[in-house]
Amino acid sequence: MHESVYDEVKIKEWYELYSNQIFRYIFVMIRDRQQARDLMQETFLNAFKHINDFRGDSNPRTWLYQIARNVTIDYQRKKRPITYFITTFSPVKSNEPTPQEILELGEDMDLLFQALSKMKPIYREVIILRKLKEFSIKETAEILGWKESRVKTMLHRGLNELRQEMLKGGYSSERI
Amino acid sequence: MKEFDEKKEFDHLFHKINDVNLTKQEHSESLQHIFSEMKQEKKRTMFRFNFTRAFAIIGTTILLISSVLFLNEVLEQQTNFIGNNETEENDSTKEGLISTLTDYKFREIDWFSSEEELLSHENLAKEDAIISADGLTIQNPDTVTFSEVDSTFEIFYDFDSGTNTFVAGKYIESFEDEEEFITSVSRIKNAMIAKFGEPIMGNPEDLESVPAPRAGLKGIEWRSNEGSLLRLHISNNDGFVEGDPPYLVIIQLSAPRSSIDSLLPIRPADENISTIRTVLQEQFTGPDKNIVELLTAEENITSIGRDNEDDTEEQDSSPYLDAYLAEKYKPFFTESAYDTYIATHGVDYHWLADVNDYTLIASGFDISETIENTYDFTVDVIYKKKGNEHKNALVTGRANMNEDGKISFIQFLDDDGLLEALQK
Repeated sequence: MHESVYDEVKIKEWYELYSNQIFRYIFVMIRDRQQARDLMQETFLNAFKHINDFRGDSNPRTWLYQIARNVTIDYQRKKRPITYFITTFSPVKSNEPTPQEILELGEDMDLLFQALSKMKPIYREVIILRKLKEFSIKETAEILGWKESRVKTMLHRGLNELRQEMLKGGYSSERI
Repeated sequence: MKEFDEKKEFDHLFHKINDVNLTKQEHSESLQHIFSEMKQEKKRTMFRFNFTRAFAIIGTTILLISSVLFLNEVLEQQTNFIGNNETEENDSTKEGLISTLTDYKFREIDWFSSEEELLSHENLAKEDAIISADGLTIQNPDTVTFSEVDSTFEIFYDFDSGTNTFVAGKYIESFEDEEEFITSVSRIKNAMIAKFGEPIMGNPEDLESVPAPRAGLKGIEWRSNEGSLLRLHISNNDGFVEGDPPYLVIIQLSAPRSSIDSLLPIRPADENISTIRTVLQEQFTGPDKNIVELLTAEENITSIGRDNEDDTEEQDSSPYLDAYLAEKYKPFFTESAYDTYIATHGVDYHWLADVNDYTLIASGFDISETIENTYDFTVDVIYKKKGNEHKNALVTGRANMNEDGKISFIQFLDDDGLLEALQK
């Protein structure tokens, strides 16, 4: 009970530093702004509840992303309990439109989002962590619970697939 | 055509996404929401705590009036609760704190007990226990007073999120007054050093002064031969939350570290050892509920897939279980070794553990290269049947690695009777 006082200080610090990043990460994963905001809040609440599990020698940013990832996965499981199993292991075609605020960021953003939605979730995840959040290979491995070599392999394969999807959608390779 | 550069490819598109931010209003409202949720939980906890305490006081008063005999019984129960039922009352109050930490166990509770076992051991009804929203921390509604150090503590029990077993216990004492705080810390520290010797980490002298406000925890640490950790921590949260006592003393005892480490991400230097260890950890930590659910729901899930007209994927006998096992193990094996491994060990330990109510934890690993690319391993597996004390099995075996760092052969030479035990 009283231990939470110290914990609240940490949560406040981390919120100021990382709330926007965590929100963006979840938003790109689920494409629903309001829901992404709710899950971001849930991420920090879970961090508060599990703060005793946080080891001082690891990076709070990486740890928070692990929680955000779990919160997002749980949300997707609850939302689509059957299809989650299918989509976890195989690519599916998404009919979900690209959010308006992403479209407003400029040309080719729709293409990028549509391409990402057609990819295997494991490729999508590793690309988002590396490209959007700019985590190192080591940090990405820590968040995903993978070996670094697997991150490299999945990133390589994922980018190949993303490139193919982008080209199929009409993206000009000259601009890559 | 321009060469693709993986390092920079699509970066300009991804960087645009960084323009998506919470508005100032959303940022501030979300922060308020988070803190409001934290405070509500604290209020709920306080309400339940006060109600239970008041109820206990009234009940105890009635019992005191009704029978002296019953009073003796109540006192005996109190003594048991403190955890020292082998000595007389005066001795128990003098040695209460230390006796509840003896043998690096918290209140004599077996590590890796289930919630049910812990509540039973503590004579605590589940409806009286204060359980966190995630179910991983339980607070005892009662406090415990250790008169050898003249301090009253709240009691917390922590459970591992993966196996949902008891892995740490905490006593927490709070103070409004700085002088009382330091005096109490000194008494507790001296009692613990007298019993457990000089700490292996931290400087006892650091505990002689009040920490700077909100500077975090500082403290000292002991470790048992088995790897259990005992910590004495203090903190100063002065002024952060109005109404909360600023000074905290935390005594924490946690399960053998090798067991805890096995539940955390691992980073050994040798990639081959890392690969073998990952596979062994997955194999001997469980039961893996996904495997069990996919096994039991196989028919149901498969039929759902078959009813879907758009589903053009080939249906074999167990596509989702295969997919799950492949995700879990395939990256670590060559093609043929993977098939052999899954056929021989894919689900049996997890399935039997689930059917017969066991929890498995791979708690320690000894993996070494004996000849080039051949590794001998021993895994210390803790297995515990619901309602019983935990046991250990030393599983030994051998693995061969190929040049790509994949397992080309693995064999359990002796599982120390584990598979047989799980069938009981």
